[in-house]
Amino acid sequence: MMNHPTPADISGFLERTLLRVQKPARYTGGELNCVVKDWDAVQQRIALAFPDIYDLGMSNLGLAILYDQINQRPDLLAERVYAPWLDMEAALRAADMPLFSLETRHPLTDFDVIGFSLPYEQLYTNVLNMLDLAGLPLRAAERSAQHPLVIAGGSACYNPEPMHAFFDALVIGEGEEVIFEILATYEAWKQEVGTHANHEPEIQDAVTPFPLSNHRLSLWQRLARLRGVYVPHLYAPSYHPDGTLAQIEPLDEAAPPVVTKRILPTMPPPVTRFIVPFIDTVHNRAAIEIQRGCTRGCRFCQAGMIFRPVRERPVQEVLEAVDAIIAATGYEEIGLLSLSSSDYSGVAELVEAIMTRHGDKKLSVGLPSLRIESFSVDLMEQLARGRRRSGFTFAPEAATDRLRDVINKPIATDDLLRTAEEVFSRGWTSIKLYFMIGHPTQSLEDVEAIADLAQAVMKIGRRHIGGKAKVRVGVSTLVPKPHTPFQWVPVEDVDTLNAHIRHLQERIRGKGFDFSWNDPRDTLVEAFLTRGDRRLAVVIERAWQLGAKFDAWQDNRNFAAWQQAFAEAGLDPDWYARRGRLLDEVLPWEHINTGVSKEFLTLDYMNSLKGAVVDDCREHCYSCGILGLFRHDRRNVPDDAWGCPALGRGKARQPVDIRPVPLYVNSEMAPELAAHYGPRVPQRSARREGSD
Amino acid sequence: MEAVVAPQQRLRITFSQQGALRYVGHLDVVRTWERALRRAGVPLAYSAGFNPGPRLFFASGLPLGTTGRAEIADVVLNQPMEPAAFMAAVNAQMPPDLRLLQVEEAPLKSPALQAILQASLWQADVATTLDEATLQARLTAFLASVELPADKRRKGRQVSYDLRPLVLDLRYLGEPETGWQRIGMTLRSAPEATGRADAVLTALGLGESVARIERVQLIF
Repeated sequence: MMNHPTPADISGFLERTLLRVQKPARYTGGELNCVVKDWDAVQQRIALAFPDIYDLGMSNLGLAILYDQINQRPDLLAERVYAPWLDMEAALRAADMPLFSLETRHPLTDFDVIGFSLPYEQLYTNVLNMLDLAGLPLRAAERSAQHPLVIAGGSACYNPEPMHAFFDALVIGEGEEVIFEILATYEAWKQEVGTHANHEPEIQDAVTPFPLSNHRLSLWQRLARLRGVYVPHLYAPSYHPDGTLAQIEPLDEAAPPVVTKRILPTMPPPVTRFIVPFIDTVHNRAAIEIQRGCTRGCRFCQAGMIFRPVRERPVQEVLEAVDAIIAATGYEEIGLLSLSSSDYSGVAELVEAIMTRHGDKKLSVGLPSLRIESFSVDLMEQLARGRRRSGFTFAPEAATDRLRDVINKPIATDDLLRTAEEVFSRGWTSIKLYFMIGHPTQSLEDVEAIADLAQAVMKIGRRHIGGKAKVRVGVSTLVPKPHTPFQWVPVEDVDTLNAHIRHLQERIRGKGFDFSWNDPRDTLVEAFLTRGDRRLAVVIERAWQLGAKFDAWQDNRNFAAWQQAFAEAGLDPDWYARRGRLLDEVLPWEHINTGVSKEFLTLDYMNSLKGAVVDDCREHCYSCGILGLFRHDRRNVPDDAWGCPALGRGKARQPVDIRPVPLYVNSEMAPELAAHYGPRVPQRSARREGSD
Repeated sequence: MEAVVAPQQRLRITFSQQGALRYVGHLDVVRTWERALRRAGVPLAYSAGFNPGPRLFFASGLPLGTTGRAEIADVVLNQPMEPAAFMAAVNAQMPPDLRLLQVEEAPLKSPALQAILQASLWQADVATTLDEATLQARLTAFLASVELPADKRRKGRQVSYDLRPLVLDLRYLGEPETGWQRIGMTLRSAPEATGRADAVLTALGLGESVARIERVQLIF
């Protein structure tokens, strides 16, 4: 590695290299609204890293929020860095050039803090690759006091164990506040302890398994005292003879036995000065979160569990943000983000107001995650306004009423077909349907039903628009995620999944059909990484050494590297991915508290096996644990700001159950039990009209 | 569907495209323009149809890796605007490496710039130790040839074509900086036949030593 290039050296390298790589504008910086500060005029410098290429990383809203908030502080600067694509990586390595930031082209090692976003597990090997390209030791314990602090945040951190070795700390939950606490803690530590290489640590602890010369121990202890910050080196696991976990224990009094996630009681101000890339990126648009969290309780959905409670952004705030974004970026498209747009209470008002204000400016508005009901078609019709109506996307996730009861996404097939009727009759030409295979209790009949449903939707399309009708079906495999009611469930085996996919391929073909699927081997990589424990750190490191990177890229998959890495470690990927876990097993993420209690998840898992559906929790609180944990925050926000019941005497609120009492029970799954409940009814909206 | 308002004014823009923009492909440059125009709030006319786009037309996109000193584009507005006011408003919203240099009114029914473009002037700087006499000799030999087969990639396939008729003139322009030699080119730029400066440099045996290629003028 070149000793220490200056930004000018790096610019010279780029001048020689850029015309020899694909999409050189990935590496130039200089886009509209990027923030270039005087490097020497600030106290701390933070590199915000996304472990995939620019084209994907630029769409990450979490990093955009942090970039905006950090750069608003005069004493701080934040710059961006993304994984270089293979051609640029080769050029960097050939020239002995380190990975650099886009804004001022400083090597990553010049920064005080490097913060990675980890939204999903297939990015893990890229993190290692980026640390290596930066010239940093991969393992936190091998980095010295003058190396940057390396931290991570994002959904994948809810099981921090597989990547524990590579970070000083991981943020559990929402990062907008805690990032500043981390920066302040780091700065104070640097001031007091100094960062000189010859510094000897003042604290030595006989219990901790670190080399006594470890310079970072005192920093780790300070970070561990921050709420929502997990410092993995201050914990140690122990195992039973059969390989399952016995416990994960704190080694230091600074480390809490359980790390509880951070939330913001109200949503942070929306980003309006988005960086506008020159080149096309994956979502080339601005995005506004209209709502965080989801109340529907789909049992496969990790986001629906970990992002609780539901918090809504007021309509007026969204409208003001749309105006500000258009003025600041000129974007022609704005995405209104939430896990379930139809459940945003101001959705109709919002859509109408946006189209009134901006309809003539050719603004296109994305409203993802709509429920399968005719109201969604109304909304989309309003948003389309004279534009081509190409695609409509729904995610029933399972194709039979029974299986949708199991996963707690209870849409009736009849309603789905009625909605398809609306879509085609109002001028759309294509419907995309997303399904998962490998749900618990799934039978061949459920798989067959995916094809039947696709055919039924096509028939409706043909009736309305003839040969122009298109039905696209996307099938992925269930990966049971930590902190969900399905966390104990095994992944289906590859042969069965492949057989299902082949069968669907044969049945969903012909004019107007399009069938796409995820390779079950990719699912396996995601599954062992998301369900793994600390022993996987060695496997990840070895797989990376053997060439695994860009694991989320189909063309780039290197399954052989993973197999060899597992074999060398004496571990079995199936033991992690395909082993059903017992309810009393200590799970690797047990010391991470999302606020949704293990008891709630257990009861809801039991419900799934009976086909028992629980309602949208805005109708009926099931005491998942969130409200108890964050009751102080709840009291400080308006009654209608959260999906959870308001607290305090005399508040109008939804009923509360200590145990999740189902809305109904599927009569095929548990006939004798089903008789005690009412008939099958939809979640939420229709129930509101009924007698409750 | 809303009625499409009749366009009222065509403005012809001369602009420079430098720096980081040389790493941005033409389609992306077009989008950068569209967004800047939108931010500037100028009264753009849109094309009719299901996917309306602003009526913005470029004479010729710059190839990746090249800069332009006096590029030309037309834009159609729904309401007339003072050219100077348009230029100030748009320049305020452009990234630093795109600058409007001149804006003037053009007849609304002008023919498409792309269709009437004839040729373009280029300057290429090469980092080479070859002396002036050697370079002059190569230019002369090139111009004296009747046919010059060259290859280009088209839709992923190698296609052979004759480069010679696309080159109208070549000139040695001296040493702009120590170690660099400058070559001037006049290339055909008709829709059916466009000469590329990098192809000419390759044919001159200078393909490996290119430092900078700039289009200096478009000829209609």
